[in-house]
Amino acid sequence: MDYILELRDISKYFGDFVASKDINMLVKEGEFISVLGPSGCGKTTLLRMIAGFMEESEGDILIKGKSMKGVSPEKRPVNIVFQSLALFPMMDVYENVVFGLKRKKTGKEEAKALALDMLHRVGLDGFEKKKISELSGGQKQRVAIARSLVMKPTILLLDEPLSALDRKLREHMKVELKELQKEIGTTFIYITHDQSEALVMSDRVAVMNKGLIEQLDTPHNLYNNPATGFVAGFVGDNNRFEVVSREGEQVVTKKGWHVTKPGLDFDPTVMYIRPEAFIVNPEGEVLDSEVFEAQINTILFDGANTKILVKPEGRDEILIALPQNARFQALEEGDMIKVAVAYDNIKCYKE
Amino acid sequence: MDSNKKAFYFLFIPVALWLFLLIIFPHIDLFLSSFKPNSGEDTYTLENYAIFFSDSIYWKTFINTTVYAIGVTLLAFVVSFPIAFYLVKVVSPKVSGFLMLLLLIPLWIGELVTIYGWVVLLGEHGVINESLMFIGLIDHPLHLIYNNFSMTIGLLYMSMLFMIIPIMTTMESLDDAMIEAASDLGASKWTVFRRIVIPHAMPGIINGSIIVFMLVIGDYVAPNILGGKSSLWFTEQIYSQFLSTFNWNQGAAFGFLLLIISSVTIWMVLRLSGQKLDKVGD
Repeated sequence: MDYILELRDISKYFGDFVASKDINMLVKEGEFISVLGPSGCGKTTLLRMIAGFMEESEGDILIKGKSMKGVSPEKRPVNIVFQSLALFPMMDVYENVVFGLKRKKTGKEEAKALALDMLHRVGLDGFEKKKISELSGGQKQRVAIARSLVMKPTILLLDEPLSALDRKLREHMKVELKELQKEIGTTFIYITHDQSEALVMSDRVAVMNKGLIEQLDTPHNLYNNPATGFVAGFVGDNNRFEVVSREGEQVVTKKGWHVTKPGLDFDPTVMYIRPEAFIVNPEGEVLDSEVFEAQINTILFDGANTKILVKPEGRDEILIALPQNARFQALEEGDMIKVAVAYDNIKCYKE
Repeated sequence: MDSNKKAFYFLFIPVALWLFLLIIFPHIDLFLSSFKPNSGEDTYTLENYAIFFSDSIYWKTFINTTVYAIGVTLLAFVVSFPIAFYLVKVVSPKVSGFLMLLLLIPLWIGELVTIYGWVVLLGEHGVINESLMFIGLIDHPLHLIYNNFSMTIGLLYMSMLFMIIPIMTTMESLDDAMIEAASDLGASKWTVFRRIVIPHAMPGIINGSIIVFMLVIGDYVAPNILGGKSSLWFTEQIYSQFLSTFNWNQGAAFGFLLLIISSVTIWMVLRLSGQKLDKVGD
């Protein structure tokens, strides 16, 4: 199997500070990979090393099997869409898009055809002569993407390009970007701290924390089978319980909740259960589940995302997602409910 | 409303007084006296201006001074631009602040002392000649002073800072990512400078050029002390009209001609650069 990008044991140190440590990644052609992590986790450093603006302290970066050691940014077959977009305000839209082609000494007619085609693809027909300052946030976004894609990069790197947009536009651009990538087929590496962007758009997501890749997996696996406690806590909403001990098949939380979790072969320190893993007032008999009764403390109404807070006596507070169907409309604060959670959905980790 | 008006007059009156008493009024007086004969008769004449055009030493000096001042301005740009770039984009703000302080020092001492400093450095028995002779590179002192070379150095030295600061100001607003984006798209360092950095810094370059040009064309100290016989500056002729031949009316006419050429040059630069600013990126 040939990989378009190979990161081999990449580490980057700034003095004593470890920005990235032993990063390994194999990317196939046409994949949409996101690197997800909190700010300061080293994801931007990783991107800058791939682009060539920074040199790795250890390890090697291979693009199409060729080592990029000592290759300067302008000679690498990758292009970046910057967080600030970095459009050239002294040029109009067309000149921005054609800038890279001119540097490649593409013929004038050919460059024009390529640039206009790319502007068409991002839906900016007729915008050639517009000044950058005349564009809206979303249009600037598209110019930045067109400017990079017109270079036909082997890999397109995107550094949180949607973070400057307002929420509505961001939701829209998410879908648009995903479709554009599918249509063009270029390999995308997308840096973000927004888990929803990463999950919605990517084929695979690398979750980074403190310079390490904690898990590189499909969005589905990342959500349902987090490899570490950090991933469980960072990706999606989750209930976190600190665990103090294990008694046979039961784990005991700090507040004294005994939860059955069969099949553990280590002593966990933390337990995660997703809000939607709880089943409220289950009908019939439930098997292989932890079942308990609790009083509704608060109802947090948020349309389809409505949740309830329960606080079983002497135990941790639990956030439970409430499905929006008629069965649960009548629930009120103070009601007693029965709650079940399958053992499989109880995730324990040692941190 | 009333107190607003009071505040307005309170702030406006000093400005108006300054403008009228110290700038406009003297200029009107200068303008009128430039049309009066030196004999003291109370008539108006074009004689003072006619002399300028009939005597070639005057208009030749005038043209030389203008061309030379433009040259020094260009030179100031060439020298200042890398310095400004270095101070803003290369070194840390702390180091940059310290270096700025060093650049400001000549300004604290005043032009006259600074220029005499160059005499000490460049003179026949100055620091440079003595050092070169000491290490045996030369046998006889080099003619470093009292020529166009030394005058250019003096003019550059006293005006450079006024080019550096406006360029630095515009350069500070240049997003580093823009430079990276250009090189990411395959631009060489030279292209990045030509297409991104210089166009971005253009307003600063124009401002700096105007200030430097005015300072240089109107300077008296550097041409007088560091310049030689061949490097006659127009300000020196104005000076001699006022203080050597006591022909104030002639001096006034020359002064006005200098004012006109400065204004016209600046107007042209603004016109040209205005067009250029729109065309940048072709």
